[in-house]
Amino acid sequence: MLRGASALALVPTVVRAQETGRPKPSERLQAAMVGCGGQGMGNLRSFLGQPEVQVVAVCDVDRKHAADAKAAVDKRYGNADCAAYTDFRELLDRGGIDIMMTALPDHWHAIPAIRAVRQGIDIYGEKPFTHTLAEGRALADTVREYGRIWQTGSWQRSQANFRTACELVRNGRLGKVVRIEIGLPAGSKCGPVKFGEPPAELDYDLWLGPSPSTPYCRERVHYNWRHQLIYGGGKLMDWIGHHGDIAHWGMGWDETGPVAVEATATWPEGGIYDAPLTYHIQATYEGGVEMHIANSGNQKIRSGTVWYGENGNWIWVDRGRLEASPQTLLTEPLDADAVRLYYSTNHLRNFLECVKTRQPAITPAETAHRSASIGHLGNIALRLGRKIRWNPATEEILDDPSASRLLATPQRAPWHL
Amino acid sequence: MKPAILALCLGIPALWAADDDPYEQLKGFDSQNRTALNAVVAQVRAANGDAAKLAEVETRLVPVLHDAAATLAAKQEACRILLEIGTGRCVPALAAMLSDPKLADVARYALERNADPAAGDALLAALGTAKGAALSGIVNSVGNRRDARAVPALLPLLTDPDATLAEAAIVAVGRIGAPEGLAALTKLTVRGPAVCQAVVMCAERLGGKAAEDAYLLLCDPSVPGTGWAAALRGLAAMKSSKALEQTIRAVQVEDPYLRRNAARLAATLPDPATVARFTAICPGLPADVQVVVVAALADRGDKAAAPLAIELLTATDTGVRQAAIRAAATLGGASAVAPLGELAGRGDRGDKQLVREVLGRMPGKDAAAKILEQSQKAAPAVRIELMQVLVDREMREAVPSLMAAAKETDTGVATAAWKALARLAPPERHDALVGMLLAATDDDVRAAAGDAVVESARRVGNRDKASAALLAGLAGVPAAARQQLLGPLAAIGGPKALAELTRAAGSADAEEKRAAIKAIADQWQDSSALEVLMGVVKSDAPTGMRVLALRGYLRLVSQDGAMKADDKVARLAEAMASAPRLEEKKQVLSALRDCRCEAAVAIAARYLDDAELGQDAGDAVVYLATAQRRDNQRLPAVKGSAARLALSTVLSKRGKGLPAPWLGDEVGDVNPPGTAAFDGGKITIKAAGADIWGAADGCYFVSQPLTGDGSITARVVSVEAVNEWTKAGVMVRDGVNADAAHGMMCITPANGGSFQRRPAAKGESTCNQLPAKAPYWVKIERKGDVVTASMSEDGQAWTKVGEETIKMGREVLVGLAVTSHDAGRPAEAVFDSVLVSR
Repeated sequence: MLRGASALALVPTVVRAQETGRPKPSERLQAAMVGCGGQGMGNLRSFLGQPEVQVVAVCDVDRKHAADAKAAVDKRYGNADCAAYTDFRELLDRGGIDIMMTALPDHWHAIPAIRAVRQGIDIYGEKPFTHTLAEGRALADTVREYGRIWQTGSWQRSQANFRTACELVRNGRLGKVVRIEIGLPAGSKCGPVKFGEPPAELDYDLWLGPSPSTPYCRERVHYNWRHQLIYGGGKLMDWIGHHGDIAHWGMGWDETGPVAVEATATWPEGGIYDAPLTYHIQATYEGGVEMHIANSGNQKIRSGTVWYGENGNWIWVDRGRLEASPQTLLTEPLDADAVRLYYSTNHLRNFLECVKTRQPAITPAETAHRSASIGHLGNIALRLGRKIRWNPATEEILDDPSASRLLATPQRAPWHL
Repeated sequence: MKPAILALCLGIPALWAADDDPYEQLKGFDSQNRTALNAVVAQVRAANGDAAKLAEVETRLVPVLHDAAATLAAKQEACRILLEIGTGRCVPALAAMLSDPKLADVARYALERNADPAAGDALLAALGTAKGAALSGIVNSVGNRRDARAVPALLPLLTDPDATLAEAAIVAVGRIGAPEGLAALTKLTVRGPAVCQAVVMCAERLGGKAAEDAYLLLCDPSVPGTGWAAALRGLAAMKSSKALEQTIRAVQVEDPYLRRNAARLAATLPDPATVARFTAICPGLPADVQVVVVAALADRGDKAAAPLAIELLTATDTGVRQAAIRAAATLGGASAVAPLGELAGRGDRGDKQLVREVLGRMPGKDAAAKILEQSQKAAPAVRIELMQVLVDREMREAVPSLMAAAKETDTGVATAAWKALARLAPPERHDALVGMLLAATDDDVRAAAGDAVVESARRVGNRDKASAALLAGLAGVPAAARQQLLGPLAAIGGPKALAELTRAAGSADAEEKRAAIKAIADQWQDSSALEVLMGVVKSDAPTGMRVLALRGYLRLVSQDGAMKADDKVARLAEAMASAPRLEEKKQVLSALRDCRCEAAVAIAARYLDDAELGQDAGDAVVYLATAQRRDNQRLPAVKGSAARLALSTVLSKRGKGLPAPWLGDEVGDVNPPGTAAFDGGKITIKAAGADIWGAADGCYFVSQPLTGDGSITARVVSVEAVNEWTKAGVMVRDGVNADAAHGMMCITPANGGSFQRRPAAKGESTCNQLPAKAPYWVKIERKGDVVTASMSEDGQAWTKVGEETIKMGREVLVGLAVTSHDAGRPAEAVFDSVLVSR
């Protein structure tokens, strides 16, 4: 969710009061919202609160979602001008879009984004960055080649407590960091389902898109996709772009990754969900730093991110929380020469400012790809049931051709990256 | 041990019994039951990369592909396993699938990532035979495999009339990155987004002269700005000597997209002349491009661009100025402190805020020293801004100079210095600060100084110690100043301060008295002042002072997190009795909302019939007797029959609910929420809910409290048949928790009359039935712990359906319950002749 900005949207009178001095609608950034379910609607409301943004189009394979989003936009602007689409290709064909928000199932993260990027559109994209490592590399490369501004929905970087924690770690407050623990939510299971015809408002074939075709059921789509590995990446991929991203930030690992990954998990036995219920991933980084990622509670790992120094001191950060042992690690100010991290107090504002200055946003594509990589490698190690070794510079799995095949997933025709 | 498991353990070929063989079972895969699939995947995992074991799995999967009776889902899953482990062994079966439009995608799952040359050959061969979507998919796969052998076959497809196929071929040729592919792509006359992307991918892969030529070809007005800009990036990335000239040219074109994207390259172009060239052209560029140039030069980190950034601090365009602020800070460091400070002194709010941010985070000891120096020497307006920066940087070494500034005659500077001292002064300076506060002569400065002393007192830790110097000095200052200082004294707190304030609150001097009451009411921080405040409320002081005291009293009661709810309620009852005016009584009713207990509801309920307070009292009752959500936390409803009765009274008075004492509740998950409508003796209930059964229920329950023994009778007029087990009937229940103990006599659409009950909370449910169909009468009686269920066709002759010992509290709920037995779909039930006997 976009933090900070949403408060504006809740108080329309304030927004209207600010409209004095706003650019004319045609001179604002022309915005498209692709994926208007729960997360997308939350993001939409934040975009509607921005004075220099005009949302001109919404898109969702579920016509009801698209209609709801259009209604929200039209209500905000007091007209009926917002266009609603079910197919993102038609939306892109209309042209004239400057910025795009995507909040789609994981298997749809890369393709619309790549097509939008090559049309020169800047993107606020939800995490995880992509569904596979190969998609991530392709998307990050395309964003670089086209010089696009990319902001990932890893909004924790725009929160003071997370930045403070990372600045302390980065400046050696713990001495040498030897261990990192990341606690994320556990997976879910579902009982037997009834397959049937998709509802009339849903273009199910388009929903399936590049992923394998499976019969429709209510439990397949709209949020629940996350628990099916051909469409999502489980809770691991849902959250690795938050607490894993913060772990990387604190360590200065925005453009690298682990060198070895091994993992264990428990799996659902029936139903259509196949993402792990519980999991424990151990990723080892250059220099021997161990990162342990687990559903919180498993391995006694608590929710959030904690870094341990060689002397046993630690700094722990989670939403609204920042703790350390000893507590004085947090109270002594950094000295004047300290490394300062990228400063943003509002994730969406940071994106819009960067669209104007063309400077990288706080969670750019490469960073997001590297944060997601931890989870992707974890999922591969889970599927294989064996340790894999990884070269983060070349992004290759070493000495395990069979594992290397899992870096990419062939896509259903006609879809391609 | 079954043979299958034995085989798995020993890793030897298995002689599977057909009904145990996961490969046979997999053929029937229904997209859901993964037992067989999991068994095969487990074999792959157990093989741990062992080629011989994997070969066995592969060999067993091939027949699944061949078997015409195997489901499509089975073939799909088999191919997804072969994606990981397939070799040349499975290729013939997959190749045969490529020409089948229904199976081509599925086959590609296994072929595309298969490193065996045979897999590539199969895809190449299919390029010549497949059609339509299958062909597009095969094109995508050969592109993903970067199989250069495919290029000759792909080139004719670049201009295929099937747009999807043509685009697939363009992207595949781009991804493969062969010289002849690049040559063909650059010859295409239509250069849309896909072609540009393919050229860029190809050129990036090939590098060298061919790449440079291709990029230069895209630097042309006939090419979309996106392609042109991407080509410029390619030239910059390959360090082409032509990159800077091409970029400078593009920055000056009309297309705003292109010029802004070209301008960004100022950050990365390798040419050493970059800064000079951009500095020269920057003043003549439109503001939106200047923003990008300045930001890019800042990211480039070349200090040669610092003068441009500092010059642009005077730009009239806000965006340019803001970009210049960041760039000046990044590039200029300490040398930019003075010009940035000047801008903050004269600039608008946005400038001030941004300067404060960049100076607050500017690294380096020299920068810190310069900021401190400027906070002492610069013009007053600048000093005021920089003193805030000292705070942001937590520069405790600035305290001596801030203490000096706090004594200056410029009240703006002095006030800003006090604000900084509030944050930075260490506890050992506290008494010195108090001395300066006592000496202050300006009211505004004294107010800021008072705030600073209060902040500093917190760091001292002991309230009496912190207030000592202030108490000692009070006598020596003029009366008006002394009264102003009572505020900080109250905020510091502690027994000695309270003693002095209590004395002043009883003073014969009306001004002093009023100042003391106001200080306590507004500033005191704990419940130790409640007695003195209530004393004023009950005194014969002027109404204004009593009102002030009461408001302070209510504030302290509300904010005391340690005070027990009953204690709070008693305090509020005293306030209600002593409140001088209606408005304060309303405030008391509002304060009651923080006490979620029966006693609070009871006080509010006393005023429900009061002409002036009834509305507020009713609001308080509703707030307390229903569940609320505050600060993302769920506040449960106040329990107990008195609270429920008060609530139903309010709701029925307001015409929103059922007639008192009836109340409707969702028990467990009921979505959409249940509804009940009362119409002259008939009650219609609509409710969803999974069931009333097992360890927890989902139903809608319209009830009223019953204490001890009693019964409820009703006629179920109709039950909508959403499910054969939709239930509508009378119930006695120990509260509205989903897992509460209960007994219910209901009528169902197809299963007759049923006596449902859960004899113990959280326990399992049981039932027994007799034939019945609505309309039908139902009755539940409670006598001691025994609950008896009966039913009747006419309301005269009753048949006992069963009885059960159900231990519940003395206070229970009796009423009408409905569940549709379908979580998403509500059922409607109609009741009449409802009678509760006590």
